[in-house]
Amino acid sequence: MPLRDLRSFLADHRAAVWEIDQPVGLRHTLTALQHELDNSGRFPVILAKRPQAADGSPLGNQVVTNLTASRELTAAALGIPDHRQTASWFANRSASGIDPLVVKGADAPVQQLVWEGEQASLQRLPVLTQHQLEPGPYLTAAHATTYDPDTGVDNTAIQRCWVLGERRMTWFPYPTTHNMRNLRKFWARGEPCPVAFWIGHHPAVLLGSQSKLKYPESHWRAAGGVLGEPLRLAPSRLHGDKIMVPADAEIVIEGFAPVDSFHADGPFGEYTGYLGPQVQAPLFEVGCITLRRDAIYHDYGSGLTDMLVPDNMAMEGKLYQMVKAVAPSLINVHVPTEGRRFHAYLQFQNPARGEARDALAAALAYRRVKTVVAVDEDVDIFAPQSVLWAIATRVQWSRDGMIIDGLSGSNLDPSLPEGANTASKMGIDATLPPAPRPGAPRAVPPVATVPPDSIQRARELLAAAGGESWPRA
Amino acid sequence: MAQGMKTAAPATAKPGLLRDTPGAAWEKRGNTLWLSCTHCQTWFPVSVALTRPGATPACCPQCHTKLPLA
Repeated sequence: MPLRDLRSFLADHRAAVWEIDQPVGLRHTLTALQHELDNSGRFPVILAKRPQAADGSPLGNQVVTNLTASRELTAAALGIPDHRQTASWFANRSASGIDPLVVKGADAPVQQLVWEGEQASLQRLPVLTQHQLEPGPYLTAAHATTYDPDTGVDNTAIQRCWVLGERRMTWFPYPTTHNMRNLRKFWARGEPCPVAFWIGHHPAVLLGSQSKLKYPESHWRAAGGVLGEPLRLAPSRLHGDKIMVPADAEIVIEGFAPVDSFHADGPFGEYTGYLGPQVQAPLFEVGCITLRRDAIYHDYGSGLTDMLVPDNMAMEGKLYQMVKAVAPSLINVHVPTEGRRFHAYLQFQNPARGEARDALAAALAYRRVKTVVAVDEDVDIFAPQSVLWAIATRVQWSRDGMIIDGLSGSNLDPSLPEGANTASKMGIDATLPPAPRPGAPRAVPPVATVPPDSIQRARELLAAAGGESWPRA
Repeated sequence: MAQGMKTAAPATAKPGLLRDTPGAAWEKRGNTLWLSCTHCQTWFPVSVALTRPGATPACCPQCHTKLPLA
């Protein structure tokens, strides 16, 4: 099987890639393009072949963004025949895993070029400034790999970095993350924390690396599981085999987070669609940068569909695992991008009495999920109008609404009261009542439908009308 | 005074800092702390963590002026 990496993905899906040959500004313009595409429901992969710095000067490397904005394309990258089957597929594949394969640095394309000393400048990379009020260019698709100094087990997570200068940037691992635990352990020993940030790979590797795991647990196995083959790793130049990096990535930035060194970070565009506040983040000092000869720089449109789709798909897998454990009649999960990461739809096949509410309570335990809707199998959880129809016609609020205060939540939720550490969440049971006895109809009105042969005839009539639309011009 | 009501504090709690006024639990209030740059007057949201003792100075996203809040 040929190697699967970012460029093999781009080559395999050329028809989905918009190659922009004219110069495009990295300060706001490329992100504005993504906003316009999101707003019009179009999700091409964007390959900016001539990125332009803020002062108009050209930069050497191409930029790919909107790589994962299309849910259908992202599912195809994972080998999922239908994106609607992501939840069970992701739950099984990330849990099974495939061990990584270690190769020598000489066999790692990401180490074809090594920038050291004064050459190792972040300002040589085409880093975007995305939104107004952000303080400067940010790495948005940098996967930070650290390790637990007690066990040697590595950890990987996407974490933003504000480029402050040629060899200095912030690095923002959220305080509860596993990378932050590793950082604190190093600092408690009075040692700088070694880090390698890798950028650019096949979408399957990007999604697999985001699997939610226990601590300490390496993400490489899960990434291989999602990729469907062993992930090729090579020792990093600076940290050796203590921090392995994906051999087929595009760019790796290696260095250290010096002890107790912080800098302000943000405001920054978040998945909520709002800017998160300025925070305090660890500083990172670059030791070296390795990359391919013609490295493609990957950027995620923060707060845009580009970033919501992959994380929401991974969430569907985790929610499926959590809910299935208490509700065996669960058949599918959807975390819709229009709900950011706050909404989840659960679909059931003949749930027993109490099962939907058990499931709602289980799903609400997922930190970011704030509203969960349970529906039957006749409701399309990928069609908002179908879910709203179920809520409109199958819910009595005093009976079917479930509000629970004081659950863990996202502190980025703009609606939280000031100073709140927990969230108020809601479950909605929009399932129909079970039938009075097996085999009998449910004691509810039948849904208005037409017979299948009439639908077939209607489709033939529409096909014969071609692309006609009404009123005619 | 109704239960839960508090006397409204001035909108500007500290030079350059702005937060919503306190009020009854049933009234909607914003949760965002804003800071105005003393150099270029740009307003931007900051975490309350930057006002705690020992915190790193805030940094204006527009002109990058350091703004100690702790």
